[in-house]
Amino acid sequence: MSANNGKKIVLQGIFDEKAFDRLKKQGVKEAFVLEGRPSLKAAEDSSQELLKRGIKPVLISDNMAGFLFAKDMVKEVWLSYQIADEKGAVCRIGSLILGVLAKRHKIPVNIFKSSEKTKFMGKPDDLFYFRGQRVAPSGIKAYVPLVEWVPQKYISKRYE
Amino acid sequence: MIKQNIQLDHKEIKESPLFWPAYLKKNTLYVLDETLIPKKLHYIPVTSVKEAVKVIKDMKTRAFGQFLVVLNAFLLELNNVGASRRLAPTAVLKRLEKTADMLNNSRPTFPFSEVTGMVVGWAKQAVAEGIDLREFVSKNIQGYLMGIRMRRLERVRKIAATIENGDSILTHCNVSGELAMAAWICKQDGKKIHFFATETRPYLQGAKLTAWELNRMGANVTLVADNAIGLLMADGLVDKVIVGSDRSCANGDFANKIGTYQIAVLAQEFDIPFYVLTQPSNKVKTGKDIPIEIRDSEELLTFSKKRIVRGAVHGFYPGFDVVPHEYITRSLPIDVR
Repeated sequence: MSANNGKKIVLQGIFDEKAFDRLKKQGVKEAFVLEGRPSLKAAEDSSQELLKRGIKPVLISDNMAGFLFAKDMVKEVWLSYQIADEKGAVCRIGSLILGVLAKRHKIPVNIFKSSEKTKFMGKPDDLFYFRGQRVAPSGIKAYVPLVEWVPQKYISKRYE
Repeated sequence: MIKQNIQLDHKEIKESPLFWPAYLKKNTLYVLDETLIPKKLHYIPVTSVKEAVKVIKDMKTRAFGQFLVVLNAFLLELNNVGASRRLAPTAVLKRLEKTADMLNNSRPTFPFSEVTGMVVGWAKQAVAEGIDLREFVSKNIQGYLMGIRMRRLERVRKIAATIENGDSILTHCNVSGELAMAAWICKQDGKKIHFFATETRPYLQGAKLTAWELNRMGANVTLVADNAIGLLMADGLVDKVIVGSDRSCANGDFANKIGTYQIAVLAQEFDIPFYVLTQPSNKVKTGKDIPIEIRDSEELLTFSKKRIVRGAVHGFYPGFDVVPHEYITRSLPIDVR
């Protein structure tokens, strides 16, 4: 896959089925899916929902979003949210990065009601282990926020 | 084995294994297998240029370690041709040119040709001047490495001076020993500081290497997922960002491990100073001219030989990204030319 492929929608979070139906209806053929560390649940859920609808999921690590923006590969950003008001939304961790990047690169950010409630904080072991394997040394700490506040200035449109 | 403490400016600095992760002993180059850290410290014995290229391609060592492997690969080759002393200088030059070609093609994002070109230049000079090629090139490489070592140690001090008492520093991937050694100096100087190390997917160098070496140096370190940097910055938990670089451009742009660009953009958004350790070069004009290595997506989609998601999911794995110079607060350079 080259960086010259067409622009795609970037998905971040746990979405309701309606969001995937919307993608299908729009004729989307491929979408970027962020891993969503630490659980990778977002990657798994979104990928399966996309595959069910004949849409090709292209997985990227959470740190690769910036590259896509810099290379003009992003058409829209779709985030899932748990709570929202006129000042912003509580979204899964990583959403603020996408919001800031999208604002900088003038790409629209749409937010969709999430199909699940996420805990606010994870456990250090969520980062110390990857797929059951210890990856971090002992004697260190970990900070594992799972949701974050995305101010309205980074959001273009909200969908229920 | 590598010396673990260094005397500089009348003060001893504790050395991280990642600061100088490859060394030559007799006819073998020992390369620190960074993929095994933090589980164990293991050095891979390398006895040929072909094996040297393999450790680079397999990312057994990265960044500065690759640079060390490249230079030491020439010493290996010179040692290997040394066995057949009757080889004409022009034939030795040809072997070094072949060595350069093999190393240059090992990874596209890295400017190995700048270093290999320098070595081949020394060999050509020896042939032209009729001096002992093996001795001339070997001494030049060893002298050059010694100079780099001293300049990197000076930079460790500069990094330590940049860090203020009370600072919380975000770093990404791994800075090959220098940041950890600066942390050690800060601790000796009584500065109370803290580090956030990003995991750095997919190889998790932040979790495996940075957190390990900072902790080993007695620093206070907290591991975070790559996607948590926005929250950290928005909540005022980061005072400075300090990252390394793999390649620099004439205009100040630089390439580094994937994820650095978004950290730079976020740092600017939240008015956080962004520092980068660079190796200045004029060979590439701007970041747009840096070829970015797109690695095999299976490296992202699998972990320990198991897929991380089910089904026909594709992946995209750019190994690096480019940070334009306008995002940099200050560069901390060493000149390796």
